[in-house]
Amino acid sequence: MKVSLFIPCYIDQFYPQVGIATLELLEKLGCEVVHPLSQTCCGQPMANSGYQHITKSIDKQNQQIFREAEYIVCPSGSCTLHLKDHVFHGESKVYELCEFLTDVLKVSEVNATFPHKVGVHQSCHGLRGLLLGKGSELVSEPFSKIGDLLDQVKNIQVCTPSKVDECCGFGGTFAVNEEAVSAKMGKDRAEEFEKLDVDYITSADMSCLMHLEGTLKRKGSKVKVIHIAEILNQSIS
Amino acid sequence: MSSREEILGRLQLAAKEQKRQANNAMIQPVLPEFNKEYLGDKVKKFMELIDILHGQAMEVSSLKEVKQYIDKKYPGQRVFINIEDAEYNNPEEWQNSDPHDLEDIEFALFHGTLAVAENGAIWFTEEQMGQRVAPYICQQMGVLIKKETILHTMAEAYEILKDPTLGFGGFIAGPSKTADIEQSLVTGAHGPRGLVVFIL
Amino acid sequence: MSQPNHANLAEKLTKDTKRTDWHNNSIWWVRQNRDKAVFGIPDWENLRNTASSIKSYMLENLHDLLLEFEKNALANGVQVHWAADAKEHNEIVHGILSKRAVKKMVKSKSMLTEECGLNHYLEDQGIEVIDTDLGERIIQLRHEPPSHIVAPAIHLKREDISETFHEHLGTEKGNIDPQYLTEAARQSLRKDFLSADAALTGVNFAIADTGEFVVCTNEGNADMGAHLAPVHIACMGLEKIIPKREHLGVFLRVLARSSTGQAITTYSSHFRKPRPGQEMHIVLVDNGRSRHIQKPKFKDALKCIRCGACMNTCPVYRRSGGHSYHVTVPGPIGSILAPNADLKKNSDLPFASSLCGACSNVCPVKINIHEQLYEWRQIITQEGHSSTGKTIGMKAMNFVLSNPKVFELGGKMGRTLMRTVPSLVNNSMNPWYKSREMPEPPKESFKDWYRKNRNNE
Repeated sequence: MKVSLFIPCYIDQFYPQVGIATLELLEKLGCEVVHPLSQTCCGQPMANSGYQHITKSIDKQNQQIFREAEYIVCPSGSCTLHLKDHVFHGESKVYELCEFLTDVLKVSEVNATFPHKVGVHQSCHGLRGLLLGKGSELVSEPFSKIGDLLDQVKNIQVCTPSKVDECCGFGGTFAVNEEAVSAKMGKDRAEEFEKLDVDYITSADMSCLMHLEGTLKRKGSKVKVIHIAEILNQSIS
Repeated sequence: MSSREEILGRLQLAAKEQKRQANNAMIQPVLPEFNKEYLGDKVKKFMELIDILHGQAMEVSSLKEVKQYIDKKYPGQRVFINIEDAEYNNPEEWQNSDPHDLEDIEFALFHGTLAVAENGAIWFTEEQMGQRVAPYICQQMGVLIKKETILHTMAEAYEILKDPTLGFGGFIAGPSKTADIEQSLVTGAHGPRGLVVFIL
Repeated sequence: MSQPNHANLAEKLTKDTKRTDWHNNSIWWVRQNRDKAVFGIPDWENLRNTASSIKSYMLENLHDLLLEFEKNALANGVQVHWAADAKEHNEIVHGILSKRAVKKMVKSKSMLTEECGLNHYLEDQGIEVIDTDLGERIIQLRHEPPSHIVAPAIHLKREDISETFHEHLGTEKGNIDPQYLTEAARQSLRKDFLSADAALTGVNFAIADTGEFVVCTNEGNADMGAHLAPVHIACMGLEKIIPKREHLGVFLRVLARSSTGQAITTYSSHFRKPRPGQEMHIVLVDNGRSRHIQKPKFKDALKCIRCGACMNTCPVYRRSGGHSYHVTVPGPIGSILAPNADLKKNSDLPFASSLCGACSNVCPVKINIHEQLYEWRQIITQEGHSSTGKTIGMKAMNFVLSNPKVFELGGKMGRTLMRTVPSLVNNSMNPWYKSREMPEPPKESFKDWYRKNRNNE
């Protein structure tokens, strides 16, 4: 299966290890992975700030780069949602990594080991936009694509904070435009995980983790962040 | 042009545009059949709800029991009774008096048309109230309902209530309450401080 | 630039961390109560769908439904008035009151009259207005606007209320017992109910088919006012119409559960005809609604039944509080209603959200609130209501991201600078850095790695 990898701008620049883990994981699962090098960004930072009308060139760029792609896979819920809704307009070939693993590859054994206590942060766009799980607000059968994948990891101890899907407060430019509220949301979210005494916070969205990481580091916390692709890519060494 | 015409004109324009875009007119939604099995025994559920609502529900076998309860609890106080029982009804001519005169009612008893198990609400018509203000102004409220008038859900209630003939009616669910001070629940905000439901 | 701005107000309101946490927790408690109530109903989502579709039908047929309602209300002996805007609404209410030489009016909760600024208008005309909902009475005595549409005084602690009541109602100084304070308000307001010449109520639902309107309260204050006073005025936004009485079987099931977690409000009163000798009026208020309904992307905001669930779930509202929104209806729903009223003045509100989407999921009439926040942002920017600095920044960012080579080179330079001269970004000019560390810039980007390890270009 041929997969075109979409690596969001901030992952490319700041978290290359997440891109690498995603690529290696997909290869391990038998995919042929390409990463078209002319890609930059999904356009969401501008669009969420109300500047969708100036991102036409980026949108076109992405439409052209991925025109032939059978599957576009991206390790970030928020960027995936933007590509899906505003760039590829509902075309079904865009997938967030976890949903690609559970829905397309139907992975039932990831062969990963991660002997740590891990708190799961549900990223809002992945949860409520891409429906990677059931939002805590809805009265329906619970499910979680992230949970299903983590269940396959050996020796991992997964836990969830009591506010199961509270926002971390990142929200793109919200983080700087509404600095006070955003920072408070980040602090509160980080604290919930610290109270659980986790080693790591994981998520299917690196942008939330970037926010939580910034908050945790400022606090001098020992809690670290790790993208779910990095956990799923941990082989027994 | 009057505001009425102006408003209606704009709404008509909007409606035309919506219909054009939608390509056809929307039909009025038909209410689906809602689940009521989850409520279990409706009388039991209703009594549970009254309890949750800080009211008191008791099964009685006769009007006599109700009368004994009232006589014992409110001796010598201003009590108003408006139920379909000539002998038992309060003699005072209060149904046509100035509503302000009801200010010092300590206890009032009414018949309820029907009751709803899912939320503990009881429906009253203005006839059953005697005076519209009566169930709201009294200090303590009593209700008499027949067991067979307890329904599962609001959907069933409105099946019965869908065509009103009287000028006023309302659901009442428990005593008056507020939680406007730091969300601490206090009963007796403006209306009755307590509610007792006699199930006959 | 002196217009109120959510980010600035929020910064001020969240300075007191303890109070912010208290506010967040007490509002979250309401969300939890909502959860307990709705998870008990197996077909909750079906109820939401049905409520939503009835409201969609209302929006499409509002013209006809209003005429039907008017006809039936008139036949019931109710006087019907139409107000194009807030000013006309206030004048109509004043006209009714002055005809009967009303000196004192009791009022139950009505966000619409708040939106229209009725209290101040009438007070200027020498009419005493007494808000009778306990929360509203508290803030009226304190000369504050409501901070929540269901619990107007939710931003206040019992100590604050005790002070206010001590000053205005003569309660014991320092007695903070809610039971005691509520009793004091009851005694004081009972006198007002008994002496009022008119009562004004809001409207939760108006039924086209029967010409009646339904008012929901927990305290019984709407009924105390309306059934005692010789004049009853009910004010409603046009969108409160529903086609049939039986539709209440859906709305009354979702309203209180979404709102406070109660199965139903204590009182759901159906006013159809005035009582003998009483005057009953309905004021139908537009105030921007017929303009709003013409905006396809935004009209669904008018489905709102004012339950407040979106506020209780909103992580921003819970922290910044209702007053940070500087409009009558705060929170997520307020932020999609306010731009219709005044785009420029309220251009900050659609940005006061992380777009987490919890609001849309709790909404009992399924308004796509977070999507509308996104869409308002586009309109605000296109109509030039965002700062020049932001526009320049966004255009620059867009330029970089539209040019892969510039992006790569710029990224490389940026990361190098961040590593070598961290103070370039780690300074007080960078709002991120104020309470968060910047990510550590790696030497190699993912693309660099990919070129070395996978790509045979």
